[in-house]
Amino acid sequence: MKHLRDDDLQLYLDRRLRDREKIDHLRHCPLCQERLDAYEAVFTGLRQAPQWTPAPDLQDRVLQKITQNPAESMYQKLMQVLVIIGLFIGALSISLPYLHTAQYVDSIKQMQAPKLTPDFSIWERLNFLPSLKALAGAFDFNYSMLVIAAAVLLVVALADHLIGLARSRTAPQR
Amino acid sequence: MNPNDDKRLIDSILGGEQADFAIVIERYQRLVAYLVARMIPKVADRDDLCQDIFIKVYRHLGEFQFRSKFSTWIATIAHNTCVNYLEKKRVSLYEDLQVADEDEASHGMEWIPSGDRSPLDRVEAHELRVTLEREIERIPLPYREILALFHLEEMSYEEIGTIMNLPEGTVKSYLFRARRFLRDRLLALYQMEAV
Ligand SMILES: [Zn+2]
Repeated sequence: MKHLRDDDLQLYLDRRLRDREKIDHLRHCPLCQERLDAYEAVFTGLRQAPQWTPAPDLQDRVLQKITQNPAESMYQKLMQVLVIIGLFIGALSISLPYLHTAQYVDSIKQMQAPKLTPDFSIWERLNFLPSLKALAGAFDFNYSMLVIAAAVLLVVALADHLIGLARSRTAPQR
Repeated sequence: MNPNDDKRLIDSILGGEQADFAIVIERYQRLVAYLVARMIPKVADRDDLCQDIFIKVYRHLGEFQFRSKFSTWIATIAHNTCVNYLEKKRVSLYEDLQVADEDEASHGMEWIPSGDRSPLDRVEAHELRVTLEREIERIPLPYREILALFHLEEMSYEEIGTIMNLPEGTVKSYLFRARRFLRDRLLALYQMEAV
């Protein structure tokens, strides 16, 4: 009988070779036996687990993520909103002087820096939250307070982020 | 794993017993680790991927329909997560494996069986293992993955096909090709030394 094909040798090692004649040949043919041995070395190696194993804290880390308190994620969202509001106020206060284009062009012509005291008439003209002006008047609200408010919001959010990072780096307490 | 066991476990987690997910991780960590180890060459990224996979399993647990084994479903998520990761890293996923045709080179490289002991029998077991591990890393992704699922997890062609979205016939032919390639490589390596 003909020698076994490679695929048959592999099937034999997978215990899926059903052909009796082929199995008999394999038992008695030293040549096929030798080829089988070479495959056997490969198959034995393939059954060995890879050397890498996951970090022992995998379970803890996953559980920590999935059991995270919903209140905590709400808190994170709140912080994100604070950052956005802070950025918005910051951007608005920086651009306020430039909204008065005529004034700005004037000051350019005179080679002067634009006046940094905002003119709140723009709020009136746009009818945009007219109460803000009254409020601003009542509290002596000025431009620098806006910037400070934005900065405080950003600092709070940044500090929160840093604390969160530091917490996630420390080993889980158990 | 007993399917009823899995069902009870999943029901309990979906019912709010999040802590029971620890049992899922315990049961299927080995499967996920084998797949990640075989699919992801960069060791530093493997832990994060294992974590991502289990978080995905948790988030999608309600979608598991018991149409397949739980292990097959988890392995599918692991496969997809790894493939997405590799695509982002622009790793080529669809390389082919060139193996000499059986009729061309009948027994691999220049090796002609002598009826004596195989050259691999003379190699020390640990050394052979290290060499094989290195050679496995060099073969294209789908072949590595099939080897892991078939030999380490003892999955059927059908299950592997489901996980990798490949026809059963392809799974089988890849498996046989990969093993033949590895045998040829080992023989080529140790044959040279023996001469
Ligand atoms: Zn023979």
